[in-house]
Amino acid sequence: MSPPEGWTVRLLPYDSGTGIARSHQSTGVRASVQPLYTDDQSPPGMIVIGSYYPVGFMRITDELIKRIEQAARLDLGPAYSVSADHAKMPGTNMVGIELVVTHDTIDPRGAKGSGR
Amino acid sequence: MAVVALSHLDKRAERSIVHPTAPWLIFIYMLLTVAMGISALVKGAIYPGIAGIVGPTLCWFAASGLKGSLMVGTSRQKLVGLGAAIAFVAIGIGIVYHSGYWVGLFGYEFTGVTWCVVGLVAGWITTTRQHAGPRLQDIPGQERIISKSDADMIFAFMRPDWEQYVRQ
Repeated sequence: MSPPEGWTVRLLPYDSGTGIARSHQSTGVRASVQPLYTDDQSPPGMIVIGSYYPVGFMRITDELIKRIEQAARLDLGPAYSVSADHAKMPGTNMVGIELVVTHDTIDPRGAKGSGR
Repeated sequence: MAVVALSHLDKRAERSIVHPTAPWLIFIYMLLTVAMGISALVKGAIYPGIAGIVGPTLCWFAASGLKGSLMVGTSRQKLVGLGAAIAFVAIGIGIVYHSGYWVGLFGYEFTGVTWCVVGLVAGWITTTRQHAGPRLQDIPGQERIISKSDADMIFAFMRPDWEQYVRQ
């Protein structure tokens, strides 16, 4: 899998599961996806999707966050819960939005999921 | 798989982009530049009138282009931007100075070169990353849809499968 033109992709090795991030070389815009696992036998409890922008690139308002959350909910349907919030990338001058997606259906094998 | 699916996120973010520096500043500057240049032309000062329009415009363009290239350009683009800016400023100020153009504004008189310097400052401070760089919607590879299929797929991966997948 090669990244789209102008983007660089790198892996983010975390204890809870490897994330994948890509950055746009010219603008500094960055996006990432990380599924959070509790163990090797269960599906991820949640997926964290981040989109980050250099400070001043855009204004991230509470209203924008709400609209994103609503739109994501519509896109993903009733099987998923979505929560969006402001985010700041530690150690950088980047701010953004993080979307946390959890699966609402209970794993039939009884694995630790995020179902409710 | 789409690596990142943040469609509406980026689409809506694009709509919310603000332009922190005042775009009216450059509008007023250009309006005054053209108005004063035309004023000189109708008074018969053809060369100063043309120089008064072209020179400050070049200076504004030079500063704006230089800042833009420094903000989002590659090393080569930065170098080209610097070279072009120097050339534009030299030509712009050169013809204004040579023409003897001057401006009268609200009872004050300025040399044409001073007006060019105002253009440089205006061009510099009104150029933001939003103006200089590609807009979000123009960045190739931006996903536009949070895909349910992607979410389904990721939630279907056990950790070893996911780790293997992302390393492919």
